[in-house]
Amino acid sequence: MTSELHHLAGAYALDALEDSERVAFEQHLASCDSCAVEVADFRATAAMLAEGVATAPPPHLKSKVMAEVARTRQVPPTVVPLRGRRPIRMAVASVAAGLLIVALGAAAVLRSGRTDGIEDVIAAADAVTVNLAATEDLEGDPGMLRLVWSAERDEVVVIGDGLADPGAGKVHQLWLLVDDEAVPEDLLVPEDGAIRQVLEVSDRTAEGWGVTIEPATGSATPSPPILYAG
Amino acid sequence: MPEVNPVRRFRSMSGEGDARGAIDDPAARLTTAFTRGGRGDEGAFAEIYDALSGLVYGVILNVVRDPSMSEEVAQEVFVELWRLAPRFDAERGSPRTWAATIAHRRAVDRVSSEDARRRRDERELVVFDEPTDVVIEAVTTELDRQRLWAALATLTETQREAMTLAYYGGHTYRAVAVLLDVPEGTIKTRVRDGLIRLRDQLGVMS
Repeated sequence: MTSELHHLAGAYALDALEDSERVAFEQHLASCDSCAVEVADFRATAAMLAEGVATAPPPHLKSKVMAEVARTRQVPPTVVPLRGRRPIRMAVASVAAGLLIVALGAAAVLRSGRTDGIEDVIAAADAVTVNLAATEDLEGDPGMLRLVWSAERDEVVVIGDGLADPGAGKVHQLWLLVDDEAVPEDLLVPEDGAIRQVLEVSDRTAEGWGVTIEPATGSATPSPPILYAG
Repeated sequence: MPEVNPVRRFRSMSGEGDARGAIDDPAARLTTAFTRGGRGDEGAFAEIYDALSGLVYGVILNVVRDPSMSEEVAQEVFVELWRLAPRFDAERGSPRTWAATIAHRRAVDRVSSEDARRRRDERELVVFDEPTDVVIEAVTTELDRQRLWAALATLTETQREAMTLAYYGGHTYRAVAVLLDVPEGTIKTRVRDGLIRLRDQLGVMS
């Protein structure tokens, strides 16, 4: 699967993938530095193809664009560090190294996930979507895993599909990553690899999220490797 | 103004120019304009429009074909560039690559809708031909353009065909496979190999 995905870099850079393949490739891209470099080079190359067909637009387009610009609000300047690439990578790296991990709380407090209230979390004014990308340690088909997190409600909706069976007596567990800490969160309970579940989460400002495989009762500190992060 | 070394100008188009160096470097000027545009400076954005309108409109027109629809898409792309300007990061790529990427993506999205595809397909699909009737943007010198054609000429016929159908035609690699009646995996490989060769020929670095 992974080596197959590598070969999609060219078609991806030319916007020539089907939607489902694009999603899968973007998940792969988040954790594959060599593909990221290749895609950046290919995009720059594709831009040269665009230069080759440069054509002046009709003159009236400029005033239409500028009029629209005058009434369009810009996005805030900083990409929120919460889900910025660097902090997440640092957090993942430190977890992977098994260093500097301070688990908060004596043990993971297990709460039962539920399916009601999904819409409430998604509709929350502060809800943000976090795509959890498979890390290099995940073997086989990564499927899809996504969180919608409301910091205000201290809840996340976990949406996933095609998740691999964690094995007998094992479960997937969610971790909230902040600074060098991995805070234990609830267990994920997919059915046939699919999950739609609301979890209460710690009242902390997450810099990222991770998923590991743990013993059935969950753990207070993550057992490397982290399989998904975002 | 002294003549700028054409190789340097060409490189600057791919974001390799010295952004802090010469003031007459169009890439540096554009990066500076993005910095100001990102702070809400509409005058700076007008400069950005002037520098990028040929690139953006040209790639959209190639994919979409219909001039009035291309105009709509180009307007959307510029408003998007304005909206996102505060997050533009010169470290992650040149403004021209960024604009071309957004423009191509939007163009492909537009033709993906059934209606647009039907309208476009009524027109003749030109696989690849040197355009003769286009107004060349100031920054794209004839020499740059010739370099691109020369680089494309080093590709194999099948690589060029697959790449241009995908990029200029706005088709998925699967659609290209159907059009050319060859296996999908072959098209994937041709596209990737073609891009690698073109990248190396043009000396493009992200």
